[in-house]
Amino acid sequence: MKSSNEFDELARQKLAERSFPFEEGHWLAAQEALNARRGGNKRGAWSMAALALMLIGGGAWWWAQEAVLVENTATRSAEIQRSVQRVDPRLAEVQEDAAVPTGKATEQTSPASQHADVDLQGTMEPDAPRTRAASSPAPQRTGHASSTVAPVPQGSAPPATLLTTAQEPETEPRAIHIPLPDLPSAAVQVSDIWDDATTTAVEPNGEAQDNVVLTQEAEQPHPASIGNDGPIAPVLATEVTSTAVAAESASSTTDEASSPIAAAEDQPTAENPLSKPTHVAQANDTADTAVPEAVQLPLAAQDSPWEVGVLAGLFSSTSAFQGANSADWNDAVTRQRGTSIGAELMHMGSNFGVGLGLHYNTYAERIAVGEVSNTQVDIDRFWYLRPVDTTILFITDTIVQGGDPYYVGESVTTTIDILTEGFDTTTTITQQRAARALYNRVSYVEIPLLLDAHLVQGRWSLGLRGGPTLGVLTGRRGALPNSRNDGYTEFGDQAFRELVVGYTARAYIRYRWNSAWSIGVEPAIRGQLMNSLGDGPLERRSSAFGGMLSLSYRLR
Amino acid sequence: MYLPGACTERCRPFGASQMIDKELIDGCIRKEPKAQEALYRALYGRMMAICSRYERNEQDAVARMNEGFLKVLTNLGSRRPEVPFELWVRRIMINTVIDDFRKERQRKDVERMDATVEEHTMSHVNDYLQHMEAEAFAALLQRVPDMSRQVFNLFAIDGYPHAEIATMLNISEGTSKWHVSHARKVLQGSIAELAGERRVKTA
Repeated sequence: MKSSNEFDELARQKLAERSFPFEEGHWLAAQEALNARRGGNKRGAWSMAALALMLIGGGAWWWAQEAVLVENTATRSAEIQRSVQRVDPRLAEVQEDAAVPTGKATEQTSPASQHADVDLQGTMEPDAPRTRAASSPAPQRTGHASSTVAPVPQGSAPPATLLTTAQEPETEPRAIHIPLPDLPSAAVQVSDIWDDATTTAVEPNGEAQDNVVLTQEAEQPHPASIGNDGPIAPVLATEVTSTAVAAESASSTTDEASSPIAAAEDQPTAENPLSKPTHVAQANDTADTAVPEAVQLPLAAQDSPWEVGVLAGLFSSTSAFQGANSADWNDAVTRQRGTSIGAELMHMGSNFGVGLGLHYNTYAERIAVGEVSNTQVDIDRFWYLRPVDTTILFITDTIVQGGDPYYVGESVTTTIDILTEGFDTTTTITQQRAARALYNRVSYVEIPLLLDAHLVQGRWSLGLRGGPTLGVLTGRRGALPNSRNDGYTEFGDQAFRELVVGYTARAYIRYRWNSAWSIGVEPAIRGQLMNSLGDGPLERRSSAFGGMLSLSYRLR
Repeated sequence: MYLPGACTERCRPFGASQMIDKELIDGCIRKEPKAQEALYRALYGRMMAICSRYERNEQDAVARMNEGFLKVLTNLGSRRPEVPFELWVRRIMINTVIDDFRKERQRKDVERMDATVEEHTMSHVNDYLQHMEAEAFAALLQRVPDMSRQVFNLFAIDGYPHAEIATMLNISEGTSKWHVSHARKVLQGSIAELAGERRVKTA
């Protein structure tokens, strides 16, 4: 032992004597590595800066869009309100007129309606008692109206003419003559004529932003009326119902003075005693027909802050092992696919939310454990005689000449045996642990405390959600190499913590197709913050990343 | 004050710690290229001495040295001041080469020792070692099998205990002892061989 220590000390001293003159090339190599790392850091910084700029820009655009939408909605609401206020007195006026059975079309004070009257006068009989003038910008007509034409005897009645007057403020009203079909009872869907009609708002109390006035000239013969083989049957009853008075928010920008209102009422007349006014529709068409045909209004407000959701997805998971002999096989740990399902209840604000969840997660990994063998080398010393051929010089005589002695010798070739040390080496290899591929899977029910931050733009929302989790062990399957490197410990025999603190975080983008339901795609990460194994030097922490699909419902 | 390139002669192994002052370290923490170069020059000798002992060839030794030096620069700011700088660097370098060895090792091949080593008279070998060239001994060290060389370096040269070596290399303490013994025998055999040749040549 002493000799060994002396040898080690001498070796240490000898190695310490070595000198290494500086070589510039080695520094250049190190400098390259340094520069590469600096470049990598710079690239990372630039990437982060670009990402941050994109996020900031996207967020600004997002908020700008939302502000514009809110502003437009507010403007339209105000205009609609003003329009309703303008229409209301006229509606009352028309209703008053309807109460007086004059047998003639109600005189209108509106210039537009005067124009309509002139036009009507010019195209029909002056005293036409029943005229329905439907004024509207035809392509954007909204609402629903129907005219019911009673059976009329042939050849005796004037055609029922539906007049539609476009109420352009600066132009003359147009008259469109549409003969009613020759049917005993026909229903004319005005909305069929205004085929592109889209209802954009309905005022249940009769307030409308765009009303319809229909006048029907029951006694006015029309050349294009029903056939030539006889007199046209008189209209016995005409009914115009406006069940849904169209309102176009876009038309609410119409100037009051330029909004032609033609009002007429169906009244019983001598020529048409059976005709009975049932409804007065009022038109308040606007000149602003350049407004988009379909205005996309925001979804109905989500009045409840509570949201429930379910989600499921696939994850790629693995585990990091530390301690014991894990360094021996840690490099052999590879990822495996795991699953996750869950439900969440969130209290959502305009941009932030908080809630709880219940997730069932599986962490899995594969460990390709190599074989461990123990090699025992036994060295046995032994001695043996080794024959060596040699020549031996024998001195046989001594001769003295001139006072000096001379020796006489004889060489003899012979073989001698030399005692030699030898070693017998015996190598014994014992397999301690066989190679094995382990597929480990551990399941938890996790209760996450969720914090949410999100942005909403129309039907889309972007957000981040995550928080700490408390996982309850529900199942485990697999094995790990034991600390003695001579076998495996099955998970059933391995101590596991029943409760594990972890984390979950995910980003989501969701599409809301109505005020309650939304669906989302959510890339997510989750993991464990503490050792999931029980007592012992070995530690195991699992983590996973993947994607989930979510379905959310906003309570009402 | 530090001057890059001015310490070439003084940067001998284990002799350069005087050159590394706080100013130099602070400059490296601030990522000043001149300070980094000065530190590299100051540490070059001892870093190379460590790496060349553990690695088989100079190319690998330089690669590990530069890798370890990057770790030194990276972790310079988090170094505890009470730890001597030289020991700290030494530890990082040894960890670097051992980590690399663990990644690359094929332990079964390393452990399969079938070499028969003759025992030699210790006094004779030690006498010869005392007078032999350092580079010659370093060359002999390369004859030792990888695992045994690493264990011998850790135990005999760097002073690690067997228990720690066993943890570092994931071997048992007994195996560590065996590797040390085996490395000694290989070295002593090689030295004895050299000594025998010398005697023959002298005769």
